[in-house]
Amino acid sequence: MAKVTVQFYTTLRDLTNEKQTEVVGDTVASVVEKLVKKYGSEFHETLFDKETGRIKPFYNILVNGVRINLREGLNTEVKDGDVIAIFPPVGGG
Amino acid sequence: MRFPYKGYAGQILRVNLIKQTVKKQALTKKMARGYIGGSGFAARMLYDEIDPGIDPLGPENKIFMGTGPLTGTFWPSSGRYMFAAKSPLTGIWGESHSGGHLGPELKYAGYDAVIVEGRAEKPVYLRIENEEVEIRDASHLWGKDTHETTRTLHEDIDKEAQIACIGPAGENLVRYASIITNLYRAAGRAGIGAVMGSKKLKAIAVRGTRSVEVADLDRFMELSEEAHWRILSHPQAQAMSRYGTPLLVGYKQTIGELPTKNHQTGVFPNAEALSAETIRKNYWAKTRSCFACRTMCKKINTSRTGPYAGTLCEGPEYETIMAFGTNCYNADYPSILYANLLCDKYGLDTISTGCTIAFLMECYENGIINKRDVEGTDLSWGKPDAIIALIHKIAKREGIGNFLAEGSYRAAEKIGKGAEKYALHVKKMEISGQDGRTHRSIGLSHATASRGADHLRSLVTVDQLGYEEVAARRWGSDKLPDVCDPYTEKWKALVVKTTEDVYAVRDCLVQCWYCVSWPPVLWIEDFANILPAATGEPSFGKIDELLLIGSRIVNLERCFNAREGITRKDDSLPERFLKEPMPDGPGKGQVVNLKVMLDEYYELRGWSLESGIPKKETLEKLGLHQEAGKLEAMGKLSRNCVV
Amino acid sequence: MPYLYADPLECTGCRICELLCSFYHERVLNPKKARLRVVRLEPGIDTPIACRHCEKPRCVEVCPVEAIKVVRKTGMSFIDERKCVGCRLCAEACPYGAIFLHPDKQVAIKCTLCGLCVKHCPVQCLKIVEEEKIVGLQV
Repeated sequence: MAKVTVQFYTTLRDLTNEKQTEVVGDTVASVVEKLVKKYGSEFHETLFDKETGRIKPFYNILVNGVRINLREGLNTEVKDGDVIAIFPPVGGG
Repeated sequence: MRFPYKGYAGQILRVNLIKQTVKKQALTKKMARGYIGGSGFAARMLYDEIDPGIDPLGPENKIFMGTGPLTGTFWPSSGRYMFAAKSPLTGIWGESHSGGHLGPELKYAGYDAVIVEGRAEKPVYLRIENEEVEIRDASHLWGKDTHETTRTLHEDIDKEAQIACIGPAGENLVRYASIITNLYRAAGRAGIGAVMGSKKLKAIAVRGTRSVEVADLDRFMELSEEAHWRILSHPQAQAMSRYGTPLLVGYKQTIGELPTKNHQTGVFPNAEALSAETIRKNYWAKTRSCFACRTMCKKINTSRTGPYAGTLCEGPEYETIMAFGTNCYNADYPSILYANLLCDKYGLDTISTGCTIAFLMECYENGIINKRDVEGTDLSWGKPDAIIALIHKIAKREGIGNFLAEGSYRAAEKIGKGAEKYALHVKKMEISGQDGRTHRSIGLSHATASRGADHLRSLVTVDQLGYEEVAARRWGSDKLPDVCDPYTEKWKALVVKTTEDVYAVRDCLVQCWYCVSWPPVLWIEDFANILPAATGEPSFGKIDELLLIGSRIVNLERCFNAREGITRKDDSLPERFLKEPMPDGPGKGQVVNLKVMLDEYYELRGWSLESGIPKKETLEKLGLHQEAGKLEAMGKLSRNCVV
Repeated sequence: MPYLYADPLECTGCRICELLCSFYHERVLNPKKARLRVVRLEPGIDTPIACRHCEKPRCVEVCPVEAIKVVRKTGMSFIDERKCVGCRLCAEACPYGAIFLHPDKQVAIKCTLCGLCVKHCPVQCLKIVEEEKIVGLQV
């Protein structure tokens, strides 16, 4: 099990009232599960699509700045000290 | 005879400042069919009317100000307008778009575009009110900043008039001077404000009371309504409404692409101090919108304490936060807010100004210049006072400001002693708030865009943000995951080329970047739906036809640049991105392999691999026979063309 | 008397209300034919201005051809375009600046409280206010 930091931005920051939190887990999926347990149903509803049960498409989860879609998705393993960021994606200039 | 298409006003205003004449020219069906509007009209007219080699600050340069067929209608985020001219900063194609409310007003006055030629002997401004168009004396305005100018003109003419004006920076021919509308909206890049200044044209004031007509009003309103609701209900658009472009600060920091210390690295230690959440909590006062826009990404911010207490203005946008903040290693938000307001009042492009200052700071760091060279200013990284002081000097061309006003490329040439490698530019335009090392496609975009280091002409968001479904839909799922991987050159030429064509159409409508480029709400299919409903021209409903026009415009601008001597060697990036591995963050160790992307891009475009100039067959396929002939006559199409 | 109200700190100045007003009333896209105006008070304030349907309407008093009439049931006042001669005395008399001159017809126009702009406001800041509650006063 790894101890990781999860950073929140915009909507999730407003919701959780925190900039970041520490979680223990072995994959991104297990970390997200812990977050849902901690912050409750509103957190779940914000992050997950009600119909598909999957994380909403426009939410990006990054491990140490790399999108999980470029790695093993929610099964991406995490290690001690990793930083997970959850973002509604933004773009441009 | 009435113009056959709806949406358009059907008239272009031609202003000659030497003869002091104003002519109303009919828009032709051929122009509309071939070039749609805005950016397209600008490319066609300026290519035809400006000879290569002219001085951008001389009387032969012309300024084009234009709108598109949807401007002034209910189509979302279409209330914009654009300027074009030969740029005094780069010496090549110059173009800059702006939001606010002037675009629609020009259409309501009955004009699709204005083209200004010549040079006035004394300061003038242009007053447009429906059929009445006058060139008026502006000597009482010369010297005033953009806010005073706007206020005065509102009192002189009409408080409902929409006004685009230059400030002291444009008057003083600072090569990256901007044009300001509605006090805080800027047509920032490429120095078109200086072109106005060189023509002694202080302002353009517009008031109009006509309607914009569309072909099928009910269908048009139905499609527009649907587009509005798509934007309103899109969660990312909602995030934009709440935070604006500063949203980018936190994300860029996370992916290690937040330009820091003159693009040395992409990780800024105190990004939190400049994050959207911090700004919203501590400085936000109100939200604002452009005409008919539901994204409402503009924010009015104010600071109440410290040396800049009392500053209140719209912005700063992400690019400005980068330019005066992270790129200068400055985490003091109030000073960035103040710098933003100064640039609005002086009429200065925040990106070029901030990046030129960052360039100077890196020269200072490396001992290439010292305190004596900069009138005793301490130019160590992160000193807000120094940044503010330099902005004043640049706008007024005082002291060191006089040669910083020439842009970082020319300043580096003057300084010598190895300063050149710290001037981060493409074709003499300063690089904006992206880094190809952590986002490969922008590396190619910066290198190839027609106006220089431009981040808006072809910026692809799928590899920055990972829209896998969007990428699969547009380019095929067989391209995943590489197409969305920011650290590989694979497929990037394809995405940049196709995106550039779509954006070229977007720029003809003068549609906002937001909700088209990002978030991906509207795309070429939506333009193909709305344009026939607006104009009544069925061929605008064919996506292939629209993309052909987009490609035509990209190639026409390339021909404009080729006439000025641009070749493959200019489609380059600073060594920093090609040779210096990213020192920190998730992108550590990355560099840009530009050659492989550029080769592929040229292949896709049908441009010569050796020279980067469009091949004859490419131009002819796009109907650009005369342009091909001209380049041939100049010897540019031969295999021996100088590279 | 009901009237259209908007919070000047909520309004973003997008002018969708103006555009749609002209569309709903006249099937045109022309903010100068809107019955309301979003006034910009720089720096920063945007405030939609629409007829307040005053209890003692000055416009009714000054109109020389009695083109503006009060409907007794609601207390609201309406302009009869057929009678209006476009003298603009009402626009000058209005303390709120809420009467405008139609650019083509050259008659006075003002908000009729149809309410169609209300549902389209992106920030829902336009409201039809039914009555004024004055604190402390027994009405």
